[in-house]
Amino acid sequence: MRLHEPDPAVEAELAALDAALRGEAVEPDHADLAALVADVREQRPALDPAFAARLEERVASGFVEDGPARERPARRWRAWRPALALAVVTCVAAVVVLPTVLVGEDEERTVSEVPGGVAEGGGAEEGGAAADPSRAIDEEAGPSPSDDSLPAPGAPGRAVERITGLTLTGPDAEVQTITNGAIAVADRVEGFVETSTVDVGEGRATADLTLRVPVDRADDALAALSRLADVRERTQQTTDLTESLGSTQERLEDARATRDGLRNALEDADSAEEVTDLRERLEEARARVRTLGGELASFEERTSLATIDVEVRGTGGPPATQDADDGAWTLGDALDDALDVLRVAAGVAIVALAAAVPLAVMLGLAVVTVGLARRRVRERALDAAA
Amino acid sequence: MSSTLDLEALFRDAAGDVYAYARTLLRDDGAAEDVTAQAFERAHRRRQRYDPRKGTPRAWLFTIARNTALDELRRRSRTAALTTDLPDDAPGFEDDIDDAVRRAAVRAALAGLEPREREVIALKFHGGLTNAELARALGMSESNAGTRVHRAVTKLREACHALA
Repeated sequence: MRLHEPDPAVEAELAALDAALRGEAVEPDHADLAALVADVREQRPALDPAFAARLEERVASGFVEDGPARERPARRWRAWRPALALAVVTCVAAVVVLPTVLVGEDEERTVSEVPGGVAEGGGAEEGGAAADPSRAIDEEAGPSPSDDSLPAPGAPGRAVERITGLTLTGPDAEVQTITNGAIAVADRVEGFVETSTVDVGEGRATADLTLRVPVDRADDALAALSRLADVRERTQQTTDLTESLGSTQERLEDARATRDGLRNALEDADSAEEVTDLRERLEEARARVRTLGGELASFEERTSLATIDVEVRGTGGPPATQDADDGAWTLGDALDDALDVLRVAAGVAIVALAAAVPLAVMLGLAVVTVGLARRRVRERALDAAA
Repeated sequence: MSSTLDLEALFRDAAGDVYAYARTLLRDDGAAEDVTAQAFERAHRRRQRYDPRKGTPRAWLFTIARNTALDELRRRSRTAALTTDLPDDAPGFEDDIDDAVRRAAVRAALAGLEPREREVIALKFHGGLTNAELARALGMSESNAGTRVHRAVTKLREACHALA
């Protein structure tokens, strides 16, 4: 619906005006309008014929006499516009992308330098070779396979010692990496390496480690270790030490009571012989308390920390990584390289687009703003001429 | 797009109209000639940008001419006051006295209009623009352009009657 309906009288006058301007007859009611048109047109300034002829020549020649000097810069500018736009986009993309790429490289380098860091190009998933320990650590938070689980960390009141043997295998060249990964796993679960032996040389590659980890994180550690390489063998041994622990505690309490009793008796001794006798027995009681105390501490340590014996055995084969590359550039390598190039190109294009779109919007807004401002200035000139 | 624009034909068709418009607005022969020449030169340079979907060649040309004239007006406003143009138009012996009086009244009425009104009259009467072309040249809607034309014509008519 239109807010302002046109006034029929105005419409009629405008129609009559157009008719009069076209030289057509108008209604008698608008005769004065036709007369006005005639009068105004009679006042129409006429173009000087000489000037008109000169100008027509210039138009016909394409303003060659003064055009080239004035047009050349604009044409040059237009010709360079695509290249300039490309250069701007490239610069923006470089500014945005390069830091990202460089940071990414630094991060990769850092990871590879971490002890037990990622084996370069590790193909653990395909070949079962050494996996990325950091990944293994990250993934260990996930649910552990139920068959990997040790017996529950003890029902209330139970004291259980857990010892797990794990044999991992991988190419000789990755034994060290797997070992480093195992150490990293121990660190990650706040355990420690009790012993470690690595023997890597010509024709042999083995490593043996004994890891001690908190019993409540033993499952996580085993899951992470199992991801480092192929698991050839796994053994589990659990020993319920509840009774032994209880017995030791009782004997320790008895020994302490005996010691305390002897200490009291010694204070009440009447004769030198009695004192000598009590001192000897007190010394024996003290020794027994110390022995039983040590046994009790040992039990507690065995039940609070799980033992994981890790054997890493080299299979002798080349690693399923780029380390095995014999230097030949194969068709597969070419495809990989091509994919890498396409990936990078797509990334650069996306980043460039992301940068170019806001720039284009800003440029468009600037152009519109400048256009509006220029128009306003021109209109003001008309007002100023009043 | 530009293939439909024949600048030479446009010149033959509209050069006099452009000059008449510029002369009416600027009230200066030399300035009007300069504006006319510059308008065609600009049109020549920008002929590749002409898009027939946006209007007729005449509307496009008058948009350029108007911008050129306003630029000239702005330049002149910075240097000197606008020349008042009421040339001597004493009737000759052969002229009918009534006609001469009427022409003088029309000229005076035109001169008494506001620049915006005089511009609309020039574009409509001398440029021969339709309201649609006028709207494009002035950068407004067609109905607004019609309203402006009607107001300017009414004012001009009243001024002529008052002066006659």
